[in-house]
Amino acid sequence: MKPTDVPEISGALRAGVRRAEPMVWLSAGAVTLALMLLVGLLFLLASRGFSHFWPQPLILLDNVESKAQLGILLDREPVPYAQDYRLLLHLGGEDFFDSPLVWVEEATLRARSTPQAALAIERRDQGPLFAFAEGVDYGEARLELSDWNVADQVAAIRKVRGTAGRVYLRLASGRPVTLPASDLIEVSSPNAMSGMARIRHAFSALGRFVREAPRRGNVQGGVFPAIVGTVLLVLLMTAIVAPLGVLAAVYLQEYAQRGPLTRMVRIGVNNLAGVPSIVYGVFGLGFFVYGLGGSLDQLFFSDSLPAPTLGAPGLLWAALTMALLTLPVVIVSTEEGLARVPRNLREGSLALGATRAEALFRVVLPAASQAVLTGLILAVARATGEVAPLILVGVAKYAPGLPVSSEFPFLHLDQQFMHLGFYIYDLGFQSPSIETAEGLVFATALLLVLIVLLLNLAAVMLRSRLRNAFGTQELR
Amino acid sequence: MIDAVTQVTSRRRRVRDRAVTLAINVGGGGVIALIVLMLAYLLYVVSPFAANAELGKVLTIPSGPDRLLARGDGRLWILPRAPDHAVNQEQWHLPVSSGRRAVQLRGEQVHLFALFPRLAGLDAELPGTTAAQWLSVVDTPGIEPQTLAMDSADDRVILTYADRSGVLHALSIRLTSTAVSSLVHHERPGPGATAFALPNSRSNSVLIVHGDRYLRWRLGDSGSTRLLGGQLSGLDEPVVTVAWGPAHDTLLVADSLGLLHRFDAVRGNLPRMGPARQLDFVPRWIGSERGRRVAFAASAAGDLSVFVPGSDERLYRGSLDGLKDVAELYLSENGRFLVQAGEGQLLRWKLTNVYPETGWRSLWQRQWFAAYDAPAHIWHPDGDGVAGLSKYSLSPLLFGTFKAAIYGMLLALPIALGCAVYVGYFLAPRLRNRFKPAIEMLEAFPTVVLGFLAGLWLAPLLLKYLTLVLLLPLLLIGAPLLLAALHLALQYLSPRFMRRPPRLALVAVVYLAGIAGLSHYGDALTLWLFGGSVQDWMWEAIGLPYDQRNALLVGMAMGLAIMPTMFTLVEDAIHAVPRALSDGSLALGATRWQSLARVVLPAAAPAVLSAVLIGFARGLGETMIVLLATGNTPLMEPGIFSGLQSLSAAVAAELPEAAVGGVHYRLLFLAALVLFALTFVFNTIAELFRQRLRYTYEAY
Repeated sequence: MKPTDVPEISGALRAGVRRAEPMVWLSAGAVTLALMLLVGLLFLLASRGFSHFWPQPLILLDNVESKAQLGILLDREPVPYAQDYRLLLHLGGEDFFDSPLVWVEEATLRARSTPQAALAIERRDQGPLFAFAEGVDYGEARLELSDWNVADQVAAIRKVRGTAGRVYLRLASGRPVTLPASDLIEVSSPNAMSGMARIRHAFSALGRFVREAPRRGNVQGGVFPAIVGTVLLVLLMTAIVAPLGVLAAVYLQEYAQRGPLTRMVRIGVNNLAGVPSIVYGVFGLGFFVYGLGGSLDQLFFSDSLPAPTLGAPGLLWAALTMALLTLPVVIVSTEEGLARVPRNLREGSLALGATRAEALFRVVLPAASQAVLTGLILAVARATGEVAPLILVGVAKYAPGLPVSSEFPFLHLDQQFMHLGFYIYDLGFQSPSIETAEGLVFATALLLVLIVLLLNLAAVMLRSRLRNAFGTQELR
Repeated sequence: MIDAVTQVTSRRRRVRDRAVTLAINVGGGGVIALIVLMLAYLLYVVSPFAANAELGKVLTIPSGPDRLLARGDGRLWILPRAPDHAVNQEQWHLPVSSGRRAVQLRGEQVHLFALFPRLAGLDAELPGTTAAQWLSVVDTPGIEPQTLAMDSADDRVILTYADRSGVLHALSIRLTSTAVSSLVHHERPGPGATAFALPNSRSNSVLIVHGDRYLRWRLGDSGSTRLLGGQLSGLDEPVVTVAWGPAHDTLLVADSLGLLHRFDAVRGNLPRMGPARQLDFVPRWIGSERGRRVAFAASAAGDLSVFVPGSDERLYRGSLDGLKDVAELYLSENGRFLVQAGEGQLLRWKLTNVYPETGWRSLWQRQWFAAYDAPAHIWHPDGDGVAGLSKYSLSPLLFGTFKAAIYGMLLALPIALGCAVYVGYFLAPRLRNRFKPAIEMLEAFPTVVLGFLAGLWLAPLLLKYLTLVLLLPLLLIGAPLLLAALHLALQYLSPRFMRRPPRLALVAVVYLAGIAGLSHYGDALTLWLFGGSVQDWMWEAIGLPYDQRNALLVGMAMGLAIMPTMFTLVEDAIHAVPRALSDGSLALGATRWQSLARVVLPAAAPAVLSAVLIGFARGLGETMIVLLATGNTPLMEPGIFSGLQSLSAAVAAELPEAAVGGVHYRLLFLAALVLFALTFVFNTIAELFRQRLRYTYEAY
């Protein structure tokens, strides 16, 4: 081969490329992207979730074609194939407008303002109402409010709540509306609020979100029953999975004969952690709900058949299914902890005359307790965020009562329950008016993510403490 | 495991130790057994699919051919010979003593028509009522019917018959009123050819086939209209018998060679559906079920074949002994019973054929359905189209499952590998301890949240900013390369400049700037590149349709869901490779990337492979993301902008509504079993890789 100039140049180029380390930069790009995704997602959820509670300014649009419209601005986007923008306005009050959402083209606007006197009214049975105050009636006579300032109007209307009175309002179009006091939940004047008032309003809305039950097909109100359902499910599941998981792990690690069979079982258990959650749901529905529940119904509740008592999706079956789903997590984590317990601890206790059971309960399990706890927290974190199996085995779009009550037997294992994750799925997947309920879904999603994030953090911290305490030891 | 070495003297302690041992062995073993139970239970639910169809003779009653009345559930009712009996529960007056009959068995309802010399109909509610009612008696003097066919739906009954001269007649009768409309079709087929008339009461029409020609008549209350006619293509041999296919959506034509031809009866011009199917014999009679795609054929010698038209599946092959005249063979609408009226006796056969449509071929192969242009894999458990028969092909679901997982993988793998390499190898240990948990935090997003974000937040954005998303990979790859070049250039100018560049921060700044720039100039770029709308451009230029909830969307959400798992596994493996290995290669003059790529990564390769498999298995089973971010359209299109439905999403969406123990229910269990098997295989291979990795390191 004749030496030419080309290899030298390409050699120099190659050396340059080698020095520039493009792949290192690329992998740095991947890390950056991952971190940006994490921060971006958290920011998205937080901003959208919180803005659900934050009082939104009410905008009054005066349109050339139609009458004045008052509402919350949801979106602004260019009109396709035109040099214009259009606004998406949430008008509220489904009972007064054909559609609560309207697009208004900016070119047709005559005036745009944020009137101080505009009120946002939250109602019990209908969507929000954006209107101006006209008067109020505490049960005796109509009191004119139109000349009052906004703060006094709000105070006067708030006072009517819980009485037999009514509120007189005027929509932006000029149409008068009479609202019975029983329908009134909250009134505010978002445009006239000071900063502190906004914060107070946001916190009170947040409080109601956590405390109250959903209304109007879940598109309004709070998520209290869903929180209770989620917590109860996870508690029940933990109560079931903790003894079973620890038992299985102790069996595999301390009692079972070592050999190919144990190894196969261990591989099987590891693999089960990777079996899709929906498969557990299918098993739960077929085996627990229809199989076990159906047989129990025939044995004990044959009077009420064919209406099922236990043979229908419910809390108990959901908890059992979730326990089965998280079993591998607990087994693997506990086994890891048991393997980390130094051999000399075990041998020491046996040498001192302890039986195997005594060594297990007094020395080995206490030493592995943090691993068990880590496993349980990871299990809880997985179960909290898991929705797919619950769709099949017990969760309901709307459960009329909580699964805990003051009535005997206090804990209603046969009842369906609400769940935060399913709530998101249901609203996102099946709700007809997603635009108006979007804030609620984001707030719920934020709540769920925060819970799972905290649980994961706790597990990570426990795990690192554990590693520092015993160092790393491979599974035998 | 350590055995107790000392002799335990206290009896109580010994007993307690034994009890604990027993409890743990039983309990632990039980928990393990529970896991096996899961697999066994899924198999148990699916197992009935494997059962073959069976035919059994149930009852033989000596009887004359004129003494038959049967119920949909197959119970027989015997009619007396005496012509003038009073109508009561068990004995109906039959105005004729001989001649052709048509019996339609519809559950509790029986329609019986008899012909010659007068036409009479009986509509009876069975059992136990005296609601039997003569529908109408139409005098048909001078007609000796050669064939008689009946079809009824709701309150309409249509009868067709041919007289001795071959002229076809049709009567349409409304049971609620006494309105009768009739039709006489005078055209006769050529010599030797037989004309067949197929009534269709749902559309109140009659299809006449003679030779390879067909003609449709619509029977109106105010007279009948002649509709389109034409030729049935591909019929070379004389036609032996014709019949409606299941649910009247196809026309089945058998020729004298025993070939069965299918024509699409949903369409007016009766297009041919695929090549003919060779039957085991030349059939004289064909019947089909109303609600399932099951057809029956019988030969003059009494051979019986039960099969799925449109698929190669044969369900049953046997013979009906003593069958003399196929015109005396009646099939109940649900296909459970065959009644055979031979000379001097009545035979009732029971066919056990619970899951005819879930044969291996029906589930996975293409089938040609009515109203479709070509054979296709269709998953429509509730039925679609005009005829609305259920279509159970699992292929589109399996396809969608893999499609979603592959698109997720395409996006997750580069990011996970990049992150793992950077965090596990290039990052200082102090920073690693912070960045690793941060990236793993991405796993904390429940998939329902990711699915919701993809389906309801990202989908409209993607529609609007598709150009940006399509250009994003360029930015994500180009920006780091650009920075690398810039850094190199600056180092040439000043060799001491930025010996350790803050890569993450620099890349982040460029990414943010790039995204801001793209979104600001996005509209202009779209206009310049695609002339206004990417979706329109794709449709016009490449013919690529755009679904709002598409594979790209699923891939993005799925990628985010499986990325952290894969990252953790790969990073652990890279970090676990002994530092001495790469230090040695660095000392020999390799660059950092070279020692990573040639020394560390090969050592960690089994872990990388196992991570890929585990990530892929997770993608296969992911439910909520696919459910929320796709339109759940069971398509077989590989395109990135088309929708899909996965096995898991079908199970989650359809199982709560499926009837317990029904075909659909068991099929969804089969879907779960397939998912279980797939993930189990992938995870086991991954586990074996990991174990190999462990042995590799034992050398150090």
